Amino acid sequence: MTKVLSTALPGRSLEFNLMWQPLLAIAQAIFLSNRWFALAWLVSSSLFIIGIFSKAGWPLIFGGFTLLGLHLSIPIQINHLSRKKSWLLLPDFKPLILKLLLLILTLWLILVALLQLKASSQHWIALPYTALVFSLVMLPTIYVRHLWPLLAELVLFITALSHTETKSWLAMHFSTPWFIGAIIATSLLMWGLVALCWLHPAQRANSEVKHTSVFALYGIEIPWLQRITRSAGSLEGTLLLGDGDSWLASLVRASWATWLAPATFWLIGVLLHDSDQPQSRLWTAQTFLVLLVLCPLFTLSAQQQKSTQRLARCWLFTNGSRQAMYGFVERKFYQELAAYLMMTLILMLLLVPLPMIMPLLCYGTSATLLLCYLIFTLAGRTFWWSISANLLLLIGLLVAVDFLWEDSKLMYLTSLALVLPIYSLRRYGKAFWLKLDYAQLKPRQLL
Amino acid sequence: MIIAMDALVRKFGQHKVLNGLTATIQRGDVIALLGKNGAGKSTLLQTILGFGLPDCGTVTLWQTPSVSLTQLQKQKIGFVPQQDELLEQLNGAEHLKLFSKFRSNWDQACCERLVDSWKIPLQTRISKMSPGQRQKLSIVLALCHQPELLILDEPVASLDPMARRQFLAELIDIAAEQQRAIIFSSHIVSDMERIANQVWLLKNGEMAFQGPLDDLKESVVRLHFSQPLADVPKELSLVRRQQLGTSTTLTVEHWQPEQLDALQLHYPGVRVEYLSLEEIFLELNR
Repeated sequence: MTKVLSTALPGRSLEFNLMWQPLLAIAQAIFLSNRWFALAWLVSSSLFIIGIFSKAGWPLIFGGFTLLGLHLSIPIQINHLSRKKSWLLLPDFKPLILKLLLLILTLWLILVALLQLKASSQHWIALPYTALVFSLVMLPTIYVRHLWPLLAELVLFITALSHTETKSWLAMHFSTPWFIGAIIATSLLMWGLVALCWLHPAQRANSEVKHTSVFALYGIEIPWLQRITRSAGSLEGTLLLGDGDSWLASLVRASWATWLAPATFWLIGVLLHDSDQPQSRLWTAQTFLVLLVLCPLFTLSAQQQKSTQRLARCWLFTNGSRQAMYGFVERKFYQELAAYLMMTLILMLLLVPLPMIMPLLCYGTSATLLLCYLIFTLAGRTFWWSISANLLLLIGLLVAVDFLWEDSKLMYLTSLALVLPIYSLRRYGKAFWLKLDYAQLKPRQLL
Repeated sequence: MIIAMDALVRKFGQHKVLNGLTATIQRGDVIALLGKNGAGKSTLLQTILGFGLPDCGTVTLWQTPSVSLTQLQKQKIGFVPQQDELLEQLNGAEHLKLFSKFRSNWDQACCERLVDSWKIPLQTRISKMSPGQRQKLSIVLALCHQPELLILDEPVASLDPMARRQFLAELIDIAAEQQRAIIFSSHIVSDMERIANQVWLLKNGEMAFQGPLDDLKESVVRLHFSQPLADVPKELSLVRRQQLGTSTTLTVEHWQPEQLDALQLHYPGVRVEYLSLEEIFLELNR
């Protein structure tokens, strides 16, 4: 007697599982990485959905804002997963990530469409804008495996909206068919490029290299420049920074970080504009925002973030006990800060009207101090606590400077307000560092 | 005395990783730190070096608490971590230059000899080196300033057999000077048997054995009985019992050679088998 085995049903079920299980595992790792995150996603999504169907406006607003904030964690978590070989070995890991992102985008488009229906709006232009914003938040960040595109976009967005001319130009073209067409084309192009380049086998094989130099961190690989920045003042300082700790190295790093944006603007100005009146055209609010807030603040905070993860590497070479470690890291930070201030001041004296220099310097210094002391305080804390606090503060500082920079009194007052928590942060951080387990500080690229 | 630990406790949350460890290390001691994965070997080494704070008890190095070491005392330590801590954008030559510039007692001849015999590509950037080459460089950086205390946390894991042999020969030379202390953690127990004179065996956060290697090898033995045993003799401290056909094998600890005469009175065919360190480790961790 021949026994007939039916394999069709289990086979189909297996096929179904093979397709969905990795996707579910990735989704779980991204959205439910810890219980607090899971709770936050659940609460905000529930509020948002309740908001759509209820008459009260607050659940919609609160849920919407929280959801938007939580979306920033998606590219960060994707970058975190794509550094782990165990995840990369998952079949079709990257295509599945793209599928998941497309799924989230579709959900958003459905939600926005529901909102439009609720508002009885006949204009569907919100849909392409939603797609563009979502693509801008997700795709460049996962492509370069770093947060800087997201922050750069944020600054460009703020600076563009702060300009009256830009605002009126945007308002004029906001709903024109060619502009909408351009928005859709840009979104499609971004997805196409990511699908083409990110999924390319060469990119997949690109293994993670733990960069220690701030320049290498941003993908800047200039041998002669890195040779200068490797110049060591001390062994412990070099091991702490992951780069040279001499004054020369600090000044080169600082000049690169502070002068890069203005030099680029100047070059563009020379090439495209009338060189007789550079101030009126080039050294506008946008330039200063990029120059004074983004570059030094971002580079210095990224460097301090790295330093706090490297305490174990320098502990056996430093002079003194655990009590002295905080002071040692602080001294290295102040050396870097002084170099940045020096370079910024030279640039300002050359280019900025005198009354603007002091308030901008005060704001820049106090914002950097606050952010870096927060980074010191959060050393060794849970990854998400640390990154959420840093990102929120960084975004807050960027938004604040956009509103305040023309009023010097407000700038001084804000600087004072920013400096006030530093004493408490320092005191708390110093006490916390005494109990810190240096061996548990895992190198993770937050900023 | 180089290291003294007294009732050392380390906890991660509620879990006690190290539970009341007490030990000392003198010059000339070469300690094989043994234990299964997660037994607390790395945590112990990190606590000795002051990376983490004891939850209870004390660790002192040269009579100074490990968290308060001076730079002079730290200069006397050589440490090879499980994962190297090299600067990725530097090459091997730049690393050696950096360390030789700031380390006192830097032995350039030893450095050149090791680099030459281990064929470390000095002009290659760290990020382009293989894990084995990086590990070799880490070992050179830890050895060449002639440390008084050498702590090696699984240093040979990424080395090829040739480099492992060379490294062990180097370590034997250092140990022979009797001026230094070495703590060596590895899963290649046969290597440790070749160089260690002391053993610390960690089990569930506690020191299951602590003492000279020879004492351990004499104290844990396998007894072969040619007949089946109904009961294990009361004077034996049993680790494992195996019944093979009509014969019985007992692995026992705290064995003393004089016990053999008493056993032979009741079991004439009894035979004692002395075990290798690897076998002892396996028996005690089953």
